[in-house]
Amino acid sequence: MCRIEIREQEFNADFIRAFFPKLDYGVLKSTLESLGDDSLKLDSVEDIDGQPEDFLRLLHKVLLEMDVTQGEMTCGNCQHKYQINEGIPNMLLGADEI
Amino acid sequence: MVKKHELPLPSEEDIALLHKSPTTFEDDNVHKIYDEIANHFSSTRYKPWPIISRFLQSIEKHAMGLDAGCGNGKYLPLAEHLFGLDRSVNLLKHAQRAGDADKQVVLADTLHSVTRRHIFVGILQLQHSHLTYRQDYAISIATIHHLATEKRRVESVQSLLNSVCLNGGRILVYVWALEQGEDSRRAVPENSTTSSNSKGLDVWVPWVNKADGRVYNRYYHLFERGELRCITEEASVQSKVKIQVVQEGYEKDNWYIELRTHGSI
Repeated sequence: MCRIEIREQEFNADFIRAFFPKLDYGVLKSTLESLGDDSLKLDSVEDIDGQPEDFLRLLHKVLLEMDVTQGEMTCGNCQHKYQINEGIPNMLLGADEI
Repeated sequence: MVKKHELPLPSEEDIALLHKSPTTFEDDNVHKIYDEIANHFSSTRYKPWPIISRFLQSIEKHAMGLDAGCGNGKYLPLAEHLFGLDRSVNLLKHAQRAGDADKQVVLADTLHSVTRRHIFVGILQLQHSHLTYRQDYAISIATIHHLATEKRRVESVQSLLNSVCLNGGRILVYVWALEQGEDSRRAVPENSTTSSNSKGLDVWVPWVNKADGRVYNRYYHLFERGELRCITEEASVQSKVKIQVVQEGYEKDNWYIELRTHGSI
């Protein structure tokens, strides 16, 4: 079961532009899609400075305001499942998994 | 004159357990205790220490940081994009609402989580995108003195070095000092001798819990003068990350060191 909550945060276009180069946009897009959200339409973004404010606001929403409060994450490498409970992802590993 | 409470020392059996399995020892003598005392403990931890506040105020705009061992999150409101990591889920429940705002936190181990960056994909990318990338800065406040062996304390600093940018990444580490000041309520037993092959001193620090009146002995490794510098230099060699010491010193019964990464060795 997955639960998503939206927590409003103040929009800051400069922050989104500064943060964007660190992001793997493709992973963000596919993650959103795995949550049933297809709001990111662009397949790739070459130049963040050339993007309209609407797009920056969309990024702001999915990066800073969307909070997965219940769900699980599957590691792309080892398929280990990490649970998210009450908004806290549990990244602890058992002694045999370290 | 402040009334001093002498800190109890671990017995030989305790030390044997520590060496047999440091992780089980930390689980029993640190993590489980913080989960038990979280509510009372959190109510006593609200005042930021000056060196740490100044460090956070000096962080560049839009920079993203990690508080590795954030406890109840008392530092999270002091910087805009600082997220918290801790071993105690009950302390994290406080951290999530630190400063009456929504904060991003993750339940993880300071030793492994940040070096296992590659696993932070999927939903975490969305929620904690910052975790997948090197941070601009990281702080470790009153955390690594809970790790049971020198090797683990070095590894935790390595983990910090690996979590920030290779060039210009900023780190602040703060640990409890063996040398307790005059105003400290704690006293280190005078006749205690540290074993020749290790620095500092392992002690129990009792916590009298308000809810049940029980006394919980938390494990601490008290750092002696020069020891923090020594383990950061070892961590730098091990992780092959060149470091520059920006400042180091003693504040309120604690040793601290501020580092800046300087490329790889």
